[in-house]
Amino acid sequence: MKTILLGLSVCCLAFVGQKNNWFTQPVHFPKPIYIVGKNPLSKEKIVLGRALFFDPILSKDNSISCASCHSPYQAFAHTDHDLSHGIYDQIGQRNAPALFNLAWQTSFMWDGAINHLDMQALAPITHAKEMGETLPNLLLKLNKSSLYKKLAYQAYQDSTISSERLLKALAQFQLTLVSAQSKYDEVKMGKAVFNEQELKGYLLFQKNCNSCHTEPLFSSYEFANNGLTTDSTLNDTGRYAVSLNRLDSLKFKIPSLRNLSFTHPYMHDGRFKKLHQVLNHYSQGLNHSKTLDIRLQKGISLSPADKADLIAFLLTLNDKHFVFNPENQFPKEILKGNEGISN
Amino acid sequence: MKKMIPVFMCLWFHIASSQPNYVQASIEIHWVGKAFERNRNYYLESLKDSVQINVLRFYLTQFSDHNKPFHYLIDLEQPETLTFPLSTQNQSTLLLGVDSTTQISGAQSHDIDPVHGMYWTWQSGYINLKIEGKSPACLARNHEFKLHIGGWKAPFSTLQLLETPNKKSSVFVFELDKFLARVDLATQYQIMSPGSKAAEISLLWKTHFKAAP
Repeated sequence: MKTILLGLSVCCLAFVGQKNNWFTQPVHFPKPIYIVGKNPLSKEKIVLGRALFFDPILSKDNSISCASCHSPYQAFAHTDHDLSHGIYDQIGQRNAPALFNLAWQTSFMWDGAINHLDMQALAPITHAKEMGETLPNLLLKLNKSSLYKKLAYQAYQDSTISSERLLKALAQFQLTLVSAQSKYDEVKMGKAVFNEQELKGYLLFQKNCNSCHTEPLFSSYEFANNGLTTDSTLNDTGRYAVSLNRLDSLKFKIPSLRNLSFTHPYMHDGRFKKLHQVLNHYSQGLNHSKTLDIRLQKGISLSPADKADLIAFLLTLNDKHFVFNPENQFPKEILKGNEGISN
Repeated sequence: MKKMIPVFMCLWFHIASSQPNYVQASIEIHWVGKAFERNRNYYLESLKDSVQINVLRFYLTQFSDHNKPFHYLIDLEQPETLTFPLSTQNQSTLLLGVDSTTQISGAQSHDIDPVHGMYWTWQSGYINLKIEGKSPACLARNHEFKLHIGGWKAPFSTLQLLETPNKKSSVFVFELDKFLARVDLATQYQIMSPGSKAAEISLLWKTHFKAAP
């Protein structure tokens, strides 16, 4: 009996330890959406996922990796590029979104076309204007690679990379991208205080922004039409293309406001380069189309001083611990410049 | 003798419980009542022209007594997939397509591995029925038609509960000629996303996919 209890205790401790070590649940965050128990995280699987994320082997011509458009130094967004880039210098249709706190999201992409983090990577891998690869060919390349055979063996005690292992390993690395150490987070945990201007900005935020960009994730992850005019070169109808419901026309997923200093340009088509342009849009530039969100019908009245205060608060959402975390960077100890080569 | 009753009961229970819970079910693809052959030309009266099918794949989902789904990818190109273990306990919960819970459950393996080309990568969801072929009457490029029928959300769900009135039947027949006779391949030659057209075709699929009498 003692042996059984001891065994159970060891199992329980291992589970708690694993959870604490590899997936961080910030105390002030809600319960995650992703069911970690169905893809239990391990150091070796995260290492495999991280190598895959940074390796252009995922693309048809071995030129584009996930990190090409989701740079760790830019909170896994693509600073200074309005639309995503792909193989053969192709330009995509949308701004590459920042990647963090993915465990709390119910859908992925600006239009929510992807319903599970595991399956998200398939979209850019197979998109002709992004990585242009096929899943069978990618698996062929990975299973020829001595590097990936070794990493797969370390992760799964079997050197074969299947699509399930590929996708779950990529998901594991992305699950570790938790941004919860900004000044705002420290204030919430009683470790810091806002200065006067930040506090004014916080009150303005709570009054005008929080219903869509809901704390502490700074997004409700709903779909909304935020009053942008349609770019006639893209004619992007957003969520409508997925739901085929006219009421969803021009609605896009509400992005998080964390790490804004690193993730410009803003909006689904990257049309705004600066935060003050975004605030000017909400205070003066709303396009009143049929599906404009009800919360924006009257616009947001902001004085120049209000805008300065609001930006001061938004900057407290920058998380340098996350952006410069070496665990999130290019794994030079693994890829060593051989990335993209079936070695 | 009375003392023997519990023994007989135990023996009966043992025999009953040792009966297999599954039978080997088979799927037959028919064209005017005969076995259909891939890559062969057939005449389709409604189209007034010939038609050839190169790809015919679809999913079946069977639920266990504990409501656990089991998925079978049926592929005409691979005859061994035309049979599957059919539960004798719960035949009425056979579904054409991949069940909605699985559609939102992330990466999986075996028959529902996305490597089989039956998963849309640009919009989450399995292609429940894939039919590709050619017909001179088809106005598409190279006269090729592609029907990729999927979608699991209302109002355009393509999941269809299979009616199995004869629960002893273990043979299912897909009457392909009757199914295609009701699809206007001359104009509906390309369906590759969820929507009303896909939902309509899934109803035809259900109508012409039956348990053999």
